[in-house]
Amino acid sequence: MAGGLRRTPVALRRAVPGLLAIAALLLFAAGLTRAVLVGSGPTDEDARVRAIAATVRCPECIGESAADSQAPTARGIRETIREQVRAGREPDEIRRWFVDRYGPGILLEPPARGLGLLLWWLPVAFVPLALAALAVTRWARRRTAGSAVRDTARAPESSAVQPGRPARGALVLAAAVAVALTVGIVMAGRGTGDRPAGPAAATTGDTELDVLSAAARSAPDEVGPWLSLGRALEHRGRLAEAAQAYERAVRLDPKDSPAAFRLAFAYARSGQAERARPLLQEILARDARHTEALLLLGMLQHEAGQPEASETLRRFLEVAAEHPAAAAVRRLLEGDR
Amino acid sequence: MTGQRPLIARRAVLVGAAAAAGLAATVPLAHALRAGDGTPAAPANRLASPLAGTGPDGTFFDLATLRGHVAVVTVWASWCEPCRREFPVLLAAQESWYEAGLRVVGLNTADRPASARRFLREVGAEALPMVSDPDSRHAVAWGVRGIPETFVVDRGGRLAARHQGEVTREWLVASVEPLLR
Repeated sequence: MAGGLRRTPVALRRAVPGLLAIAALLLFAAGLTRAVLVGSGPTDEDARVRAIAATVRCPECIGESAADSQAPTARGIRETIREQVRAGREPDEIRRWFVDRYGPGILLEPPARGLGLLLWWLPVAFVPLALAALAVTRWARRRTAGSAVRDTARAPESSAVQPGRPARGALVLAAAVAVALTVGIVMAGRGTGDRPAGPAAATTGDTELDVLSAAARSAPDEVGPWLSLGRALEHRGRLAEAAQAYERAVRLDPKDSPAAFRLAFAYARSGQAERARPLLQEILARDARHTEALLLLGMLQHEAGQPEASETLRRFLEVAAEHPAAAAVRRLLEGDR
Repeated sequence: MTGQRPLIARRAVLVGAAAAAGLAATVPLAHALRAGDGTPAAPANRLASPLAGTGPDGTFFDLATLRGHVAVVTVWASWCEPCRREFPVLLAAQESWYEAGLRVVGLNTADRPASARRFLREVGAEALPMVSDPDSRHAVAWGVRGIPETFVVDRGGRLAARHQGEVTREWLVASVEPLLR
């Protein structure tokens, strides 16, 4: 009984590296299979359209594929892909059609030529090479270990265990390399480095955008849906599209200060201060004590080196002495003096 | 034989480091490759894509009928504010160069006919030939990146210039006037 307890952990310990290696190799095989399946494309039309659209960049977005974006051109790209899939065109032919119109930058994967091709195949070629090298090492080691055992005639336990150990170790290492490379291939293919940092990178909640976008377009003369769509887009960091939604809301109701302020803020955040400033001045003409408009206008004027900045910021401090930004604004004004 | 474990550990460290180095090199390189070919030059001087269909008012128009003219094709939507700002510029350009052979044509994309008709009435552009493109497929065939975008098609039907964003009188002078001579 006691001997059995002692033996089991040893057997387990011996089995663990082997099991780990098998698990790692299975993972590697799954990764490769998935990559191949994505490349050859699923059978269902929607899934095929989606798979191709996922490799095409949305031209008016930042780091988003045509499969994920609600921008009009992204929808146009999806419709075009659907039309071409129905016409029996191959994914590569369809992608070429987009490259003809938009240039190679429209594709969301490294080009399959030159350095790009090398990048794709280098890791794939590395795995069998590494495995072969490790097998040779294992073979050489077993030969020396075998002769050492014969020469010294050690205890039977050591002769049974020692030659196996490096072999299993080699297998585990090879598997680790394979997993690391699979992760590398997948990361390079997914384009994780392509997405901007911030909220846009984290969200994929497109159902919400779908609904809001449909609502706004089905009631194009109502302010509310455009504001909601603008907020959702802004939240995702898609400021240019957000600005368009807010523009629409402001045009429908030019006196809607909250909408005008959101628009000004979206302009300011997307580097269009020259558009934000007159809009903020309009808001302040209607409501001279609009705290946020005073703050944003003052900061934009300050950034542009306009002398009115200090006057605007002083008005902000008069209206909102307790504002969280008040202390920083005071420091800014003192620094300017 | 007791040296076996440190040997494996050392090899594990080596292999791990090599894998990490490989990863570190592959991912940013792949990213740089993709980022590098970001915005290509406009493929100018190729034949413009066909453009034919009904406009928001139901009238059929085919760009091919304008062969021999210089056409300015503006891609717009009623919900696009820069489009509203640029229509007066486009209408003024057509007025100045109509005799010389300039025609302004609209591609009304991602829009509803009723909204588009109201927009055209408001900006006084109801007389311009228009093609409706509710699902943006025409826009994509033209390689449109965003709205508004403007294309200049020469008398032979070739793309001569394109402009992303609101057009200005200066841009039109620079890209249209030489084609009218």
